[in-house]
Amino acid sequence: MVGFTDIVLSHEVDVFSGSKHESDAAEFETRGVTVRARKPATT
Amino acid sequence: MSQLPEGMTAAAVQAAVRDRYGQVASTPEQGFTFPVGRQFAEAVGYPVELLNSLAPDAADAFAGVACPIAQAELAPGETVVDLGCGAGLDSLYAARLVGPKGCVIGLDFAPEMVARARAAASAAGAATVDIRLTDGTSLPVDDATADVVIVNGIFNLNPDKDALLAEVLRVLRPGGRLVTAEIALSGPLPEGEGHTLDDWFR
Repeated sequence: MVGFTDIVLSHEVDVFSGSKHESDAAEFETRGVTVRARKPATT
Repeated sequence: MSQLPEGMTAAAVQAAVRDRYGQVASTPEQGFTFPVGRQFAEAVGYPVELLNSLAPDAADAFAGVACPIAQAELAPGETVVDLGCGAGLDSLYAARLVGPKGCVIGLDFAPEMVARARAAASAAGAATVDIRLTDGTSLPVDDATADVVIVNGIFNLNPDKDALLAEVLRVLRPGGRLVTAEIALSGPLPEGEGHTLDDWFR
């Protein structure tokens, strides 16, 4: 994430729970994640 | 540019993603390999009160990853860009939080989704929500416009993540925030996976 600062991985969810491809998601260790970041106040 | 498997082009990926999400907009009930709809929106944290207060257009075709707005700390008066707004659920949620002095610009590159999001915004009387069609590469937003950019499951579908991030950086004002919910792998894909466009949606 070039150019961003204060990058935080903040949240995980099991996106594919109950979906058709839940087993694929589990096999590939797929996760839903939320990332927060900030544009620097000065460049 | 992200590395694509041999024989797969960025244009082909973009066209496939546009087509697939156009289908979600047109017939969300048909069943997809990824979760779609109101029940999923509730499961990932959208308030039931919000969903109950909106016409079903937005939630029925919801195909995000999570509820990034819950992490965005939106404040009244802020300008929000909802990149990959889909059927508009995040745009409408954001509009509630930023209030009448704020505004929300929803962007999507599937015309069917843009139409659905505009219908949802109209039904909600959301005068501060502006839904725009984008080509998925250059965002139709002026430089340093946004206090916050919300993204809900777009980077994982975009073959040129660096270029998209550069666009996000361009439209954010200095000090502005990006909040993105994404699909992530814990490690590399097994050998032989990810080589076809169908794999892109698994």
